[in-house]
Amino acid sequence: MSKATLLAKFTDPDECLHACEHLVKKGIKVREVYSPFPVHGIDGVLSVPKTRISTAAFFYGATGTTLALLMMWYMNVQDWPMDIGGKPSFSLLTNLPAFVPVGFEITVLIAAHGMIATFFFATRLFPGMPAKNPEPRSTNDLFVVEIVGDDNPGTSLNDLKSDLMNHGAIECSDDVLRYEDQ
Amino acid sequence: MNFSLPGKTRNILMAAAAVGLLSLVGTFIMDVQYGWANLLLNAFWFTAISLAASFFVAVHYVGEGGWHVGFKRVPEAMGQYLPIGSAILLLVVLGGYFHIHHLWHWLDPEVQANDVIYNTSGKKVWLQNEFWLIRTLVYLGGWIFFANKLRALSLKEDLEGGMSSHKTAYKWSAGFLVFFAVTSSTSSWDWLMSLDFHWFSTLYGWYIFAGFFVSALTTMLLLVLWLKKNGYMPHLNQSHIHDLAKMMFAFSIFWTYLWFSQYMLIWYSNIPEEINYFLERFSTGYQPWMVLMLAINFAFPLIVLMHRDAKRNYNLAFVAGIVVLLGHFIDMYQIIMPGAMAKYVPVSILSVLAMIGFMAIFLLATFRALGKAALVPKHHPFLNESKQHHI
Repeated sequence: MSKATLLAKFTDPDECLHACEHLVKKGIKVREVYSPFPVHGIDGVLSVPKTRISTAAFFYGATGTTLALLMMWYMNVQDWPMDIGGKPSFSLLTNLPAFVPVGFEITVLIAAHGMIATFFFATRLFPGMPAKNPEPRSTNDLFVVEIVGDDNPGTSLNDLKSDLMNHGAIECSDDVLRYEDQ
Repeated sequence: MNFSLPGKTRNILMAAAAVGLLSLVGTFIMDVQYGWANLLLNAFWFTAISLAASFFVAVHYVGEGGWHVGFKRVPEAMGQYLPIGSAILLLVVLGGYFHIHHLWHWLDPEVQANDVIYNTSGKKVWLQNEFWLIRTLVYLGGWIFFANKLRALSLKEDLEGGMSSHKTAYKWSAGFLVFFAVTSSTSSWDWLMSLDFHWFSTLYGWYIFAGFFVSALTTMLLLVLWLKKNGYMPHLNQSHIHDLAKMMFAFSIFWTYLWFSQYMLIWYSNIPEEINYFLERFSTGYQPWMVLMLAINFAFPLIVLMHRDAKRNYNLAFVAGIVVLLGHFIDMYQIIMPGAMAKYVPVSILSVLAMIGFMAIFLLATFRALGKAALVPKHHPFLNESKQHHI
């Protein structure tokens, strides 16, 4: 069953933000905002829950540090003890400064890739997936506010149009909701 | 709105300055060399903080940054301490030049005649007494000139408005940055690295710069928070504080990166004339201070200031700032003392009190300059941008 949707299009991020503030103040529920780049403050206006990606990043980073130290300990201390620069103590701890650069790099590597993978998984963005934005220009120069009729019972989407046009929208078009998953 | 220092705060600062100066005298009574070394530490550190504040202003002119305009008068006022700090630093340098003390023992003609490294390494070209004194005068004179120029243009803008002062300041800032890039490095060789003149490190200038830039950013953050608490900066929002704390955090990590890069290469290659610098610091009584300093300057900001909310919490940011400043005081201590004293002298209470005294003098000079002009620049072209600052 298709759901009636209103797409309000803005060319300016601040006008888009202020229009959203106005809608939220009126008690209208905004389903999604599509923008070419992050609009500062929009997550607060739309009450988007705080991201947990930073917590995930910490654990990926800790995994990276552990793996790196384990790898270097096995290679340079356990399997084939290395004596470099007059430091034949064969100990991970006393030779720690030498292991810091590699440990740091692998921490960053695992944390970055882990975050990307988590982000793709959480947003169902994989290579080859169809685009979910209802208006292709939202990847270029348009800021698109999506309002779904079913989210706002008792409100006529048509009545909202003129209100949004007064708040800086350049165009309001009717659409149907294509993706439900978020 | 203009700033006026509350009488109570002024009295506390005056008292702290008096106690600090007495403590400095105390360090001279303990050991004359230790007294001079403490004087050098405070003279350099606070002059450098003042210089770095002017550098901050210049960077924002050249980078056309606007977010800082709301508290721009604070780094400007910090820069007004430069003449006082320079005079004290010049006193220490002249003391060395006239052989009243030998913090820089290469100044001694006997050392210059007999020292093998001095005569064979090429250091002789750079480390000449007269040349060294002239360089000192050029650095200090140049810095004071540029800092005052930027300050004067900013005050002129208050009166006249328009864009002409801003554009002129932009040009002078670009010149200042070039001058600063060279002199911040060479001055650190002249005043600090040459304390251990057998040793050298190509990274040294950057390491010293990172240290005093963190100190300056932290001082700026503390001053802004203090002013805000006293009702002076209502136009500054959480975003400004967040950004300042972010810079304190970022430059703490940057400082660690430089400290470690310098340390690791020297530790790894283990060449006698290089490793000696770290043997003096890690195989003597200085070791616990080194470990403490690294913990405060790296681990503490990393753990405490990593989180977004921590940087937006005014009280936490204030306490963290004080801890970071103490960490960089210990850093300055271990930079100067092993070379200047040639033996282990623990961080003494007199030394800390002397530092607090100098900080009080620094703050008195800063507040004095702060009260002389409007607290917010009136016609800065980016003023509105700063008021709208939102991250």
